[in-house]
Amino acid sequence: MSDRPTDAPGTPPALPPSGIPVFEVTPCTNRHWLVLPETIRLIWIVSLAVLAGTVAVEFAVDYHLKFHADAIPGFAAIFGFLACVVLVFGSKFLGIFLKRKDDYYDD
Amino acid sequence: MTDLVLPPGVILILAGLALPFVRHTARQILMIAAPLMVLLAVWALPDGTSLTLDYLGLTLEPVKVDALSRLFATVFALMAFAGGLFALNQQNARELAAAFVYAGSAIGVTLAGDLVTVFIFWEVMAIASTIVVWSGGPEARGSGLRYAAIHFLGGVFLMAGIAGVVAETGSTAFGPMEATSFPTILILAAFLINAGAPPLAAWLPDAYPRASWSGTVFLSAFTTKTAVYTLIRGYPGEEILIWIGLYMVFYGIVYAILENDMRRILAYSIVNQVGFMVCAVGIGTPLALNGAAGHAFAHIIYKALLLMSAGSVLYMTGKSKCTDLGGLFRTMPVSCICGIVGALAISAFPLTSGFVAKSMISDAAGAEKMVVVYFLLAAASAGVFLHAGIKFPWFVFFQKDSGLRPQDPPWNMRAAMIFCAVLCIGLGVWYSPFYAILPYPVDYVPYDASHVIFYLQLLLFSGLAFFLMLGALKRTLTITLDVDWFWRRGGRAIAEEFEFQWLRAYGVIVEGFWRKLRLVIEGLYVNYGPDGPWSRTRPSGAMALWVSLLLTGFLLFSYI
Repeated sequence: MSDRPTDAPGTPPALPPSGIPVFEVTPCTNRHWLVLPETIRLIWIVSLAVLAGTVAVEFAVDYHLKFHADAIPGFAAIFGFLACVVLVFGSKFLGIFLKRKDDYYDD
Repeated sequence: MTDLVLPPGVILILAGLALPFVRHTARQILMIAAPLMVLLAVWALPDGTSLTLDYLGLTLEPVKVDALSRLFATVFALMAFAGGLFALNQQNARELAAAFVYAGSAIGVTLAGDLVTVFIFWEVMAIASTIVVWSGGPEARGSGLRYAAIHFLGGVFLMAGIAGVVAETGSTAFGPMEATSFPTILILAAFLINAGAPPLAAWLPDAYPRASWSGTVFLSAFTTKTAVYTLIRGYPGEEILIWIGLYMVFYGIVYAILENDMRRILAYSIVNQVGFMVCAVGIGTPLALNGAAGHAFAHIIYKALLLMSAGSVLYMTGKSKCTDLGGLFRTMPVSCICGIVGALAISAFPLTSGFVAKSMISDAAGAEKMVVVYFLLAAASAGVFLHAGIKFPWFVFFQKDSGLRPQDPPWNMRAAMIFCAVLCIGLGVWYSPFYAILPYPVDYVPYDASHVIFYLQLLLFSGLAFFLMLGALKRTLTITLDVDWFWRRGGRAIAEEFEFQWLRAYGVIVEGFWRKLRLVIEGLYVNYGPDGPWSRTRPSGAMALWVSLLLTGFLLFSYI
């Protein structure tokens, strides 16, 4: 396939289009502050608070949705979440039949 | 205006053709200046027809301007500028020339007042964009060929349809039509092929990601959005478009969820986004058409931004598979932040261009009391955030640490990304000038409290769903079959069977020929070979005997 570098022993790896070799290090999991477990925990807590906030705020304002969907509290939250669950598992189901190895077409 | 109006699209085409003949700085200046000149030219043109030509007894109007065509020509010129800036380091002059001819012919279509001019620029666009695909390298050869085949098929439909319309009505004018007669159905089919509509949508995710790091940025903007323009102009309110659009929306999401290559994810999401526009054209009210046009405008910019971000990653690492990438936020902060801005805009987050444009489409469906369409579009909006809004930045810039430490790309690529990112936010915050250039007068306020809360809940909870289902979304080294299987594998199997049968027939014929030839040679050998009757040696005694017999005979007869 196109972007698989041909690393035969003894030949240097293919250069990217920029012509600048890519600097590579051993993958690490916890050196950058953004990927420290404490930071990730904090991100989860803040995100969940924001999620709760977006639902709570609908009681604070004059909240009206089309087709009387506002009758159900947090309708958009539930709808968005379920839509994604259905889409992901629907796609995975179709993937059972439609997925092939990425060198399936040998052109 | 004077009589010597040069269509703005032609300016860009000429600039493109000149590109290979100038070098270095001159080429870079031309790449920046030509699109800006075209932008000025578009805005200098007055409303109405500025140029008419007589050709083969038909009256052509190559330059006809109204609000709709000016909107599209503006964003195409902006896109040529941003793409040119991004591509300044591209050494392949052929690709750059083709990209500018491609952009120029797209502008040509938007300013065309008649169907014949539309057709001419349409075909130039097909040829130029095929060359852009082919400039991606040897791997792009096959998909470029498939791309060209589909687009020339569309061109045939378009030409046949136009001929039919001209024969029926006697007019070449390009205005609203109804898909009720055979020629108008053909024209609609041609427009839909370019829009990436089913069943032939596979050309788009097949060809676009094979182009070079800069080529894909150009490709993403013009073909599909020109098709959206022609649909808005030619088939507003054509009801079937609602359902075609919805199919495209969900097709894009499902295939993008299953995809591993970052640029192919974005290619599927082009189909998804164009689906929103096609659906809006089908709804057909002024609000919906404004939404379609505005969404096309916003989409061109944020999709280019996303592909520039992906292109930068490809340019600096040479990799485009999610399974090879990850953790790049450490060393590519500009590409990462710009990519996130593009991702928020495509997801229609409040304060981005996507929000102020897409809201009009869903509200148009709501205003027309189309309950099913309204909620399907809302579900699709959630799906967009899932498949492009989070998936692209997450798998490329975060996810795991791939160990790659590439730097941000050169200044011009960063500048192009920042330019698009600023536009994405700017159009979302100061939306009144944007609304002012839409084709119909706008009486719409996007930032209504209920509306904003609805979208925030919808999108943020999709985000939650994404992170809770990360395990199910793990990338695999796979591709997903599409309709193009029928000609990439099915047709090939038929061809191979034909080839096999033909070879067998050929074998029988050749074998028969050699058998016949051998019989002839053997026959000759029997008669003329070393043991054959014709090559027997005769002793000289026999000759003497025969001569004496002859002479005796002669003597006898001379006495008689």
